[in-house]
Amino acid sequence: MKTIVDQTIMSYGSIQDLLRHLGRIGQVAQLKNKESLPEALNQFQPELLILDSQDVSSIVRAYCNNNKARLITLGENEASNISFNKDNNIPRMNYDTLGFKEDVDKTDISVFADKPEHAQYAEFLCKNYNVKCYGPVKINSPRYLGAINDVEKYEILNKTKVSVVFNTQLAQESVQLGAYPFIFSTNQGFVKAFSNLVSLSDCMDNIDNDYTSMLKDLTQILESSENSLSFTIGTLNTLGLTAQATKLEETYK
Amino acid sequence: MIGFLVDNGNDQNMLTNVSQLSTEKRVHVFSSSLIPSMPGNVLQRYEAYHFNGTIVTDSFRLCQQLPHLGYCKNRFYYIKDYAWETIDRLPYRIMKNTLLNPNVDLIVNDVSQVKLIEEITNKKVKHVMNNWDINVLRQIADE
Repeated sequence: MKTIVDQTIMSYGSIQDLLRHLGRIGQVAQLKNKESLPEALNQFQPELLILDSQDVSSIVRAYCNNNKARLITLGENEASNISFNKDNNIPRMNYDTLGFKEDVDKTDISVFADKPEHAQYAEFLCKNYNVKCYGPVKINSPRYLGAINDVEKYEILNKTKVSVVFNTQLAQESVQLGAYPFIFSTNQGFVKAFSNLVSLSDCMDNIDNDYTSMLKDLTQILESSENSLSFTIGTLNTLGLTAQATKLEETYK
Repeated sequence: MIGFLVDNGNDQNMLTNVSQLSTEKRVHVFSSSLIPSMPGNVLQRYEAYHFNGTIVTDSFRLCQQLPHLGYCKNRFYYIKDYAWETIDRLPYRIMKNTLLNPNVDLIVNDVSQVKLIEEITNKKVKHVMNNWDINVLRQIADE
């Protein structure tokens, strides 16, 4: 199955979930320049289009009607077969992460700072606690150990007992690989969250607590929730692409 | 047999103490530039790949070569300052290849550095050597 996706919406959680699996059952093309969409449709002939709702032009509608192509939009659009809410930007759990699980000693407290606004928290932690800090944002401390790729991230999470994270996906991955996450959020949900340096200190001062049972609860919650694979299969079925849904299901058996 | 992988010959303490050590033991210095004030064996840096003794470097840049020196008996990175802190875009793989590499042992300049370095690396610091202390150098050469 050929899919075309607008590159600007690829960071959204639901789109990430779909793209993670669609590549296994066909070709996925990324559209870099929106102006070249008509040309891309003509040449690539996709069966599934994933676009921003604002980019659904008459050309797109005509293409979908004439070629029986399915349309997924980010944001409401009457021409789309399925539309995702833009505010729901949290990716679902990805079972592929479990493939990186290793049985190693968990000793580290790892901080993952992705954006410049996280630097103040990371610097505070490096100055006052026994942590190791990672991420693309340079932190002025010898405890900053550099920018990491995905494989390195999993390797680090495996030897981490507690992680300090700033996004939900990393928190999920952290739980999957057995590290209890402290997450930057104003919402105190199932995990320990911090929203300023005071609440962060509070989390860090209780770091010696036993998080085993809390981690077990979190893992159960994650496992019972919808994961990226079941979401993709469900979406394909809703679009009427049952053959592709079955094919995807079989690739994981 | 001990070797030193050096960036430049500007460190006077290093020159003095390594020169003195070379009067007592077999010492090789591996450098890409000439070090006129260094008596004894100054070899091209690539010769370190054939060296089968203990090797020491205080350069974070050259420390990246240590894991690749296949014949070396022991490899030491002498941490005088936190050089990785000054790098603008530091990839983690460089840290893995140097400080965190299990085949690279660590020497620190001052006892105050021990706790931090051990926490960062999860490794034991092998020696505390203040400004190329000749006594510690002898100890390392005898290992």
